[in-house]
Amino acid sequence: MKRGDRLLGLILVILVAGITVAGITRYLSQASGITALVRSEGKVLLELRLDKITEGDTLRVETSAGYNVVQWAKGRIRIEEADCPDQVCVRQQWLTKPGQVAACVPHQLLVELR
Amino acid sequence: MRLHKLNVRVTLRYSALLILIALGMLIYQSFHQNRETVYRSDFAMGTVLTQAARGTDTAEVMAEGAGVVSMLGQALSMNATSGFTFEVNHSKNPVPVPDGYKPYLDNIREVMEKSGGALDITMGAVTEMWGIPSGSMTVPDPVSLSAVLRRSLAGKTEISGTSVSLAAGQKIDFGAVGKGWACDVLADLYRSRGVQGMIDFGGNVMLVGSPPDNNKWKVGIQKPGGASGEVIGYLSLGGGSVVTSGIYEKYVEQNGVRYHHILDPKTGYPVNNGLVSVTISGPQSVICDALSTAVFVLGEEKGRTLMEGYPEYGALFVTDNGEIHTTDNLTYEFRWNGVTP
Repeated sequence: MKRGDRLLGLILVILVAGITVAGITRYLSQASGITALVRSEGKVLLELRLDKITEGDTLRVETSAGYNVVQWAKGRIRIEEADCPDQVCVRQQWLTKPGQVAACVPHQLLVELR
Repeated sequence: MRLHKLNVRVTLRYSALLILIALGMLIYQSFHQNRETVYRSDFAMGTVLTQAARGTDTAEVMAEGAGVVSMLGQALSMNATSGFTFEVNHSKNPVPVPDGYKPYLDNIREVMEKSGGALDITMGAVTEMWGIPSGSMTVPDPVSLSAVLRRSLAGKTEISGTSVSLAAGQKIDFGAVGKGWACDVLADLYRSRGVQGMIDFGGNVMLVGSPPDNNKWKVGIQKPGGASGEVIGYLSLGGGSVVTSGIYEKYVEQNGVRYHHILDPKTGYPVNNGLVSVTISGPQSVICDALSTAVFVLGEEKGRTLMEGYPEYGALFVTDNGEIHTTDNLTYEFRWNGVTP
């Protein structure tokens, strides 16, 4: 009886610990960061986890229509420069939240946060 | 002995409590995962389609939606070298209407008729002269424009639920209604898959189901001429679509004169009636899209008369002196910076 009680207690503690660890791991994996996706003419050029960026960098994307420079730093990304006529993509500034988009329609370049 | 027994009981009690908490966390997590908003953006119909949705297999549904809209865009585009619009514009015989197009064509035709031609999807020959379908606007030569307009106005393209037969001198251009059409197609896809969310298609907004906070959707209305995302107020609504036709985004300048992209089908030139933008809100996006163009062309007074034939739809007018007017048959709540007009 005494032994059974202790065993039951032990099992319960292990169970609780297990479920708690599972819950926390799952929570942490979900609270993972935002992914930036850079596509040019439909092809994925770059996929970046914004929270995992340690050093800022740029990428120059050239197509027959013209060029765009994509720039990123920890937690943010933008189209820094382009030779398109309307400059709509550049005026979008830094993207930091999921759902935000910087798009260059004339060059078919899309930077989006998911 | 006694002390030990108590310990076991206490351990049991705390364990049970912890298990409940842990189970609760897990249930919350799985529920939260289902409700989590997933985002996706794509190019389509010459603009950006952004989807923000919640549900199960959301990413798959959104990817499928992007594909469906891309295909519809190809079929309806004046620039494509195949598809429905291409066939209609390059055939002397009636072109059969593809499956599923009929209700949309019926909606569009109804707005064309009720507006007395203020919305006209058969003036593609004229919009083409302005470079509107291609996305690079130019000011056409007045003499050639008037010749093309005269020929276009003389024609009468027959649009029925089963076929479209183009009249000589005319061309079909779905540019004024294509995005709304696509939003309705996407909304149907969402509903059939139990997905809720918001679709923003180059300024055409479609709301399916309820927002994440289960309150009302809040849709910002772009400030004409303001920075992207700068709003003049919000519409709060339970669902449906919000579409704005404005003259502040697509235009071309020549000799100091600004020519925008909303043409008066009767003159072939940009509408000039004191309106800067017209926003329509209502259940179907294709009707909102069609009405926003028709009402813009008609002007506020005649536009209001047209709106009376669409009691489920509301209109909001922004004039060039900065005034904001709304129709009073609105089923939705229009709120301007927190103040209901």
